[in-house]
Amino acid sequence: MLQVHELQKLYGSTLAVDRISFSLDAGKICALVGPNGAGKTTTMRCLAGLIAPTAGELWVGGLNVGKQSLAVRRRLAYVPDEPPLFDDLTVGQHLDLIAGLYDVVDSRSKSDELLAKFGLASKVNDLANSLSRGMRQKLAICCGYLFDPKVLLLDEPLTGLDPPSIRCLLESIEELAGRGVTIILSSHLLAMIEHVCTDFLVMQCGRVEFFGTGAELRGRFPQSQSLEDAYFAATSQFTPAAAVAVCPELAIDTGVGNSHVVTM
Amino acid sequence: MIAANRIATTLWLVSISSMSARVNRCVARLRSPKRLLASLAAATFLLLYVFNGVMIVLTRKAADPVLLAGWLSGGMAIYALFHFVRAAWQESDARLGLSPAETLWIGRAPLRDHELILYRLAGIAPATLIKSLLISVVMFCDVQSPLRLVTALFLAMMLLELVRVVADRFASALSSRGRAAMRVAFTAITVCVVIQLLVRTFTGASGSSHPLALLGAFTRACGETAGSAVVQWIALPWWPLTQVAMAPQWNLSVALELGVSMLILTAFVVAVIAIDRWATGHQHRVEAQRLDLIRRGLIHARSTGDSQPRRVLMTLPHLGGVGPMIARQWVSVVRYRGTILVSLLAPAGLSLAPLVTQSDAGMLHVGAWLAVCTLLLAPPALRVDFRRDIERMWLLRSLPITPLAMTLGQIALPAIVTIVFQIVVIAAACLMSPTSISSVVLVLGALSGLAITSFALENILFLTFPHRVKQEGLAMMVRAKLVFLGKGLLLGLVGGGFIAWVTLCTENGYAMAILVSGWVLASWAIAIVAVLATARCWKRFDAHFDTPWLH
Repeated sequence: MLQVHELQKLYGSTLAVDRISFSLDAGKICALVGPNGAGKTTTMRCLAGLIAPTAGELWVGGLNVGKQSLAVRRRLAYVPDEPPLFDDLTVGQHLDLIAGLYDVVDSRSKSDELLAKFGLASKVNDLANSLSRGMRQKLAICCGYLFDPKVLLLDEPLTGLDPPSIRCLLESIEELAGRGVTIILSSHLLAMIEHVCTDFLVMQCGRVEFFGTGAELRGRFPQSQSLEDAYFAATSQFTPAAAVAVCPELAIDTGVGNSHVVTM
Repeated sequence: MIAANRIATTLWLVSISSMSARVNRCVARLRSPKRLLASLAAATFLLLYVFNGVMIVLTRKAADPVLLAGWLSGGMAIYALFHFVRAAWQESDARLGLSPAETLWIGRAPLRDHELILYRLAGIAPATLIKSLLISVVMFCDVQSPLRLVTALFLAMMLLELVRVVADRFASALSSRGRAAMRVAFTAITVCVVIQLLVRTFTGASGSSHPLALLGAFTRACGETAGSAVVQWIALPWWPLTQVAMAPQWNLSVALELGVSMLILTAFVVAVIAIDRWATGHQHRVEAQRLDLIRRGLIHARSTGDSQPRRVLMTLPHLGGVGPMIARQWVSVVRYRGTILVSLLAPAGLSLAPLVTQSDAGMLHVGAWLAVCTLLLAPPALRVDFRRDIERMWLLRSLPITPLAMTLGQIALPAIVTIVFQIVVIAAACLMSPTSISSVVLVLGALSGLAITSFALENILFLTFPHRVKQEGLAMMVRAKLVFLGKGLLLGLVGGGFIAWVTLCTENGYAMAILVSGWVLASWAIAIVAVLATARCWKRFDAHFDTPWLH
């Protein structure tokens, strides 16, 4: 459903994303984790078609993100961290806008259902600029869900959400994955998302440090007490040589300069 | 087709809802008790503007249609040139001028390029229509049909908006070398136009230095420059529309000219799409080439994990927080030094021009032009005050700094830069035409006070009616016109006050020292009052009410 091949992104003279490759099948939920400035948001924006990659190929449902952008946009939803909203539109009007733009059938009942699910039903006529940060986040998530995308990119979606909303969001993500939607979820709260994620993509300094299942990540660092410990170990110790030693089935392609790519 | 109609309807409804909410918010803010005085002043100015327009229509003779057509199209061409100069000097990443919310939700939606451009045009259409109506007020007596005039002006300004988008997108894709070339080319063209304008103004004034004679000559010079052959060639896309505006009646020719204009508009929409694609491709090629150089080891790439040498903020005495605030503003001034320098070059030329073109011109003429520049041109050129911090008002509020210290910290640096600019221009004037020390003290003393007053007033206005950076629309257009009128009125008051003071001193036989020190003291007293008023406005600023978009 989603393939990334040798993605690179250069901002000025800063290499924000350095030759990353991975692929996800339909129904997978991938946690995109890494320290601040690891290149997670840039990777998501490239996938969403908001910024063009400097090099590399991106495919969504067999469609090339750069060359078939219109068709990709119909299939992919992106909800950024701190989503910008229209200050002059109400909650309901935001959903009407998305329904119109994506030609959603039976949009009114779908939007009512989503608003009820995320506790925004009573805010339907409130202007977006009167919402709290968490509510803005939930509205953006509702907008992303409304047109039934095949791929969902959620950048730090838990930020600002209260515990019931976090539970609601994670349950909805599992439900969508059960219907075949591929999801990438970026978050620093590994302990909260580990039980819903099928795959883990660990990034650091623009490079992939690890890509695989949670069990594989913990397997690399048997001394780790939790997945979070394994993640800390991965981002502080992981090297291509260590990866080959631990897991020979990982293909290590050492690139030019200091970059390296780990592919499954 | 049904989906396309639904998208169009949705975008239309969004535009209407958005505009309705903006109007409601604007009315609520105008009716707010804390802005009562400012709202009354705004309403008075608006009434004066319309009254002035009506008086012009009633008292003025109709202009020559051929000349007027030339002026109209030429005016649009000069405005287009301004857009290219601005695009060359201003860094902008916003594609097609879309807001972050529009970029995410509408720019990322499955819309075709032309649909996105039409959405953008639909968004600015109401404000453009009001602008057309306001301009039409002063031109009603020149045309046979107000409807044709408004239609032509509206379409001409929509075309101008497309030119602006082309300029912005073209500039955004250029490499630093390409942008430098664009800056040089368009600044050189602008300088030529300004020189032409100045020469025409001072030639037209026939050596007179009377303000009204100069104003009349300047107006004629604007018309002549807009109607000149070179500008008219640039104005070719607007020609059919000016013919529509000036046509004596509806006929086949008018219909054809309207048709041609619509074709030109369509061609510009296609041009915007083409230039957007070129810009995207060009940016990608430049990035890819750079990446290739990095891969070959020819240039060094920074990784996000690389450590950087630390840049240190200038250390100034604390002074209750004023020092660190100024040090922070200094970073912005250094960063935008090129843009600031260029935007102050034209005012410098304008101020020194009387010494070259008029035999009887002296320091007072230079001072008068400097006063105009200080009030009208310096604040837009030096936006390093509260205006730059509109998205950080909560942060400013949380700082342990008194309102007065905050105000001083915000407006001190732009005022100092303006005063340095005044000193440089006056020094140049002294070299060109030596003058008495008392004249220099009088002009410089009064102008330095005016510089502080100018930035204080700009910030009072901003804190009373805050707006986001690069905000557009009807409210901004009305605001710009009212501010311009208000500043014009203030300049008139300053001039009138000076004449009254000189008359008083002369009639009573006061010494020159009293005349100079009295005027300088008055200027600085006004500046101090203005700064205190700004501090009060900052104290009363309610980030929750005044900047509802911040969370």
